[in-house]
Amino acid sequence: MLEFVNVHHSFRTVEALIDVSFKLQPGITGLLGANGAGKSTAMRLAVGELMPKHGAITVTSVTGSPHPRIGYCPQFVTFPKQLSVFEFFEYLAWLRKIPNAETRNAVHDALGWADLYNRRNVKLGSLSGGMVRRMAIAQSMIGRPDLLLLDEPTTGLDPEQRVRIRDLLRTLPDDATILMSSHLVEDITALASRTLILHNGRLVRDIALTELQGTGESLEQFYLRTIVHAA
Amino acid sequence: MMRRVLSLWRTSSPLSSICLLSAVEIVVLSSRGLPWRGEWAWTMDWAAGATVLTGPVVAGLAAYEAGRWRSALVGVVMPSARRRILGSLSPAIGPLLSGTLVYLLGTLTVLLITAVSSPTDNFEPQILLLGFLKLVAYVALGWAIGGRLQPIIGAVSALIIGYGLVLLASGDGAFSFLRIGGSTGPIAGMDVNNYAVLARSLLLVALAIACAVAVASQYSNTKSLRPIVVALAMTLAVGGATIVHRQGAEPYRLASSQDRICRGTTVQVCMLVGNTTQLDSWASQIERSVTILSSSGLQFPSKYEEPAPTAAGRNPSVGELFFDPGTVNTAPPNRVMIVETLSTPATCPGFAAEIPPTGAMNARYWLSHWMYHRIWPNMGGGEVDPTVVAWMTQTPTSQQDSWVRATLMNLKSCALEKLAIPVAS
Repeated sequence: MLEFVNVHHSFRTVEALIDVSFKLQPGITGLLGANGAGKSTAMRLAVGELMPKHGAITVTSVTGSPHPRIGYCPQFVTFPKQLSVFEFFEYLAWLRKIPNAETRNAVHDALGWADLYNRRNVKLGSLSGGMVRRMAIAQSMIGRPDLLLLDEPTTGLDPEQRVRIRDLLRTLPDDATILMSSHLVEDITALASRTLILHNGRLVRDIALTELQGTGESLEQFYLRTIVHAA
Repeated sequence: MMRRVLSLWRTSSPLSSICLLSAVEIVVLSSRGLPWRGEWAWTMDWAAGATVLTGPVVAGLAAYEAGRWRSALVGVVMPSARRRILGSLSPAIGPLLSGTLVYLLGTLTVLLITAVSSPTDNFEPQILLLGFLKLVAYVALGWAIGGRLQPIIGAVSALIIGYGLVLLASGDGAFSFLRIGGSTGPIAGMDVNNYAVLARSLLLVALAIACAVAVASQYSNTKSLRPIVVALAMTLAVGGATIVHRQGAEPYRLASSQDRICRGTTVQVCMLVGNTTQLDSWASQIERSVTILSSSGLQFPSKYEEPAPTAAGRNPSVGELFFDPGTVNTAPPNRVMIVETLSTPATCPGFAAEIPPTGAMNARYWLSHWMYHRIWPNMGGGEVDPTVVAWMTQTPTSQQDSWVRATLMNLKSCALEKLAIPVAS
């Protein structure tokens, strides 16, 4: 589970997140917002890459482990080109302190999920853009993390690849808490059961998609209405 | 673990790094020939001293790798890593392993070459540790510089800063702990100063830790370890500086013992312990020459000694070996060294006077050339001054013998004012 309590963060004079609170349970939650709304900052705070100026962030494991595993797929990725896919995944598993006995299965599961098993010995530098994106998501899943943070996972992909990634994301484990940011409403609609809408650093709505059913309003319309109202 | 380290090494194009570093290492180790090969101390100093040039190159490589890894570390590796310190080490592993491998291979090569010469000084490898720690410090420096810059810019910056430190280290300032080299070991009567080696090691480790803290602060916001690590680095630095203050910073100091080993029967030849590789050759050549020259009635001292680096304790009544420090342990004495030695039967302070005793110097010059012609009469070949040869051919042998006996006697008693070249007959 992931919980933000009155989280505030700024970069020098720019307020990136203002008094944000939410609590996520297992399942996919969408984080929707325009560019600059604070989505990536929220992700980086959740993963521990940034420390909040105020407030608290808590990640807990469903298994009760004192060290919850976190998987993170950043918006932009660069990999060490000379390593093979398998070597890099194995290295990441080691850095994430996944026990040796579990490493091989964890890496194979991630490779299989991303349909990269047959390319496990290919150097990272020779992967295509779509494969790199699949790999970026797959690496975040190594070791079945308790919290999975996907920052714009379909960025830069053509429509066909985006659909493929969406199909893959639908197969993510049910017991993981997943926060997926996007500025593409259709990605959130297709995958998430709940949506957080950020605008100018503030959490302006937290809505379960079931609430929209029967209103005749799409998530896109709801989002635009919310943003106009917030402005 | 080892497999992962080797994988990481492979990401750094190790072949290119090793070729580049090997080229630099070979240039350093083979420059000026192989004068170090007769002495362990000199060899190890030379091998460790190669890091003067390879260190900044390794720093440049580490900076390049840090620049290349930065996006992957920030974006993918570090955020979800629980082994954060090891993760941030990723860019440093390749250059460190390549640098260490080349350093080890270079060192092993020169040690093997030296082993063939059967040196007689003590094998004290502490200095090699300093060379390795210097590489570690340079890798850490490059790692810290490159983590914030583009790969090429970082590499060039680290290279420039690295060589800048080499220049700063050549003075006696705060950076002198980065200096390696300058020993001629037993030739200069020097021993390893273990306190200074320890102090320099502590300072180098402190520098590496300081750089590591700079890197860690870039990739991790866990603040709990940082004060402990900074305190450790400062403790090491203060410890090192204290030892330097009390024991000196130079990793070599005058040997406490200036003992010599002697060979020979009619004339003894003595060389400093650890410097005796060519002692038998010296003894036999001196003995043969003395036997020949004694037929002219010359009275040589009963002992010739390799002078100790400190004048203290020098016995004025013994002759002084005239040798080339660069070849004393690698080549037998040549003829010039033999006659210069025999024509220096005592250590006369007058020769080092502010106003040089020209007459005495000229007389000794004539004497040495006379000896050369007497010992090797058939060599000729322009090595003997033609003026001296002309005098020898025009002057009766008895008259020559009389002059050389008197000259050698005055040299033995340091009566320099009585010395003069012979008057032509």
